[in-house]
Amino acid sequence: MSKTPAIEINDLTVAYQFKPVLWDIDLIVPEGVMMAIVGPNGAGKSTLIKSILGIVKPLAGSVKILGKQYRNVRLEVGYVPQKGTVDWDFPTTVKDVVLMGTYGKLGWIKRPGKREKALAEEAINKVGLGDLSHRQISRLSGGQQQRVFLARALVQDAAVYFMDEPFQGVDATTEKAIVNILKELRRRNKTVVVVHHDLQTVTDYFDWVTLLNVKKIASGPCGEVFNEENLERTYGVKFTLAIDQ
Amino acid sequence: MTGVQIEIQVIAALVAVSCAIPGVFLVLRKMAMISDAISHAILPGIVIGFLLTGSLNSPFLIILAAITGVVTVALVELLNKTKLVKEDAAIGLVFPMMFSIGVILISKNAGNIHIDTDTVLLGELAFAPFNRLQIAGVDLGPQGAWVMGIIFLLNLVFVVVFFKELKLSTFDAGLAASLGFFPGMVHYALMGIVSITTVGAFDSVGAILVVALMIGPAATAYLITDNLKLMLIYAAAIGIVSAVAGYWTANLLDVSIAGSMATMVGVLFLAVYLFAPAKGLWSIHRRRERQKSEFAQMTLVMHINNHSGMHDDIEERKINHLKRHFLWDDAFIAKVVTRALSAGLLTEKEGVLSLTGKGKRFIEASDALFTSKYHPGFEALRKEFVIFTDG
Repeated sequence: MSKTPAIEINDLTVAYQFKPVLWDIDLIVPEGVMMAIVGPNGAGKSTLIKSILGIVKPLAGSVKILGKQYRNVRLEVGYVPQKGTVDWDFPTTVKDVVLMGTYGKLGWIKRPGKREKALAEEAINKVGLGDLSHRQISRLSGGQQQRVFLARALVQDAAVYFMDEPFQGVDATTEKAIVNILKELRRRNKTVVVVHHDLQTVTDYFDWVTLLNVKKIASGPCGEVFNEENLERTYGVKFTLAIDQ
Repeated sequence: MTGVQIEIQVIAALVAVSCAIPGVFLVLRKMAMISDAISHAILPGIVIGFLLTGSLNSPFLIILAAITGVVTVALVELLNKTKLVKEDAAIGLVFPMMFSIGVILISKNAGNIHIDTDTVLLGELAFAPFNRLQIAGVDLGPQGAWVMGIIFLLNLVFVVVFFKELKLSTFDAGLAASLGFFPGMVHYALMGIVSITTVGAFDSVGAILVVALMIGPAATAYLITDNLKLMLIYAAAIGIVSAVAGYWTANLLDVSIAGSMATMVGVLFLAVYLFAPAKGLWSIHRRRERQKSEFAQMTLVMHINNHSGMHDDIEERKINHLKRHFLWDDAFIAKVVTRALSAGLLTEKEGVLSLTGKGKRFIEASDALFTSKYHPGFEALRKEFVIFTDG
């Protein structure tokens, strides 16, 4: 691929005190792929996303998104955090939170207008919260709150998305909504990077995978690298997964 | 009403609204105590400003004191960032230090300046009209009204222009940062507004009562609405009502105006805390009672249904046996049974309850309601079956 990759990481090392969390990672994520990051607990999956987004300072190495430093392409990067990070008692509605996704493109002072509201409405329907659009956000279930964040990311219309374990602890309805959003993003040719735990669904939801355990074990199309040998090297135990080869 | 009385109330109302606006964001940011810290920590700024200008109302003094307030917040955050001290402890360390610098400055210069701790901490609204703004010999009204009027306009413009930015950075600072809105900058701008408002208001109501007017109305409004814009409007309105009611109470009882105003803030909060439509203690209690009786209805009808038809069991449907099954007291059973009978869900024959057609439909409807993912609430059931009457 001669085009600029969506994400290019060179020699990235991150350490917390004396312990390396990520060690000399080289990684290229082509544009338009849906990539899962898998690995055991403490493998540095969240740290990888955080250092790509500049939240964690690396000890060495560089990260480029769309060929540029993160701070120059902020608006092209959408991040779906784990849902515990905001105050759900805040006096605001589902629609209002989703509208916040449009603020970046609006810039300072300008208010969201008809176009932005229509976008928000559409995204809310896509995650199946159409009936709840005027509901105060504390009166939502955990899965519904997760979907509010997804809808917000969708209206942000970024080029590269990062999601930190969106599937963790959600019910079947929300899982389906998330999968729908992933498909929607793929249709729009976005690049999506997801920290993922469920190895059984990797090949269903994603076309690209990075296996990580402090060092990069393998990265590439699922068909090429998501196999028992690599999984064993990542997790350190024998795997007899029902992987479609 | 005399002119002086009107002037006092206008100043009080301006102070109340000016405080309510930033107060809403302090409450939502869980930073209520920062206003307390700022109200004390601006003292050295006021004293130095007074020593330099000789006036308590000069713009230079206000700016200097406001800077002291922002410096206080910065120091608190600096300490907090080291992670060796928690935020509440950091506040507790920084503001007494600032305040004590102010106290020492006052006591050192007490002989030759006309300022004392009481003036700064408590203020005296009753004297505000005597301090006139005169330009070229023309009386333009009390100076306090002008100072507070300008601060009110500043706060209003700030919140109207930056409403979106304030909301976003208060709700989700992480997203605000990633969308390029510099939440740190918004934060310090807000702290600047809080400081300026506190300095402006201290001459009228005193620095400490500013805290009451910042936090009280906002916390009260928070209990009434789920909408940020309305919360701002309600907080302002509650502030004005407290100010005016406080003034007249003070007038009637011949006590401190600022004290009465702050008391009114407390009284209004208590009233709303007890009787707010959705979040008040009383309506929470009523709602619980109602839910209890609604579920009792459902449980009873469900029980009769489970022991009708295929698994017919007359023993289970006897009114006299309900006590053993549900462990409800006699009065409660009588109430629930009577209501189910009068709603036509059940019929009774010789002490045995049976399901009616309506009861059957009720079971189906409530089944559908509770097994669906997005149940629209009780409202539909309430409308259709009319059994959930209050009482």
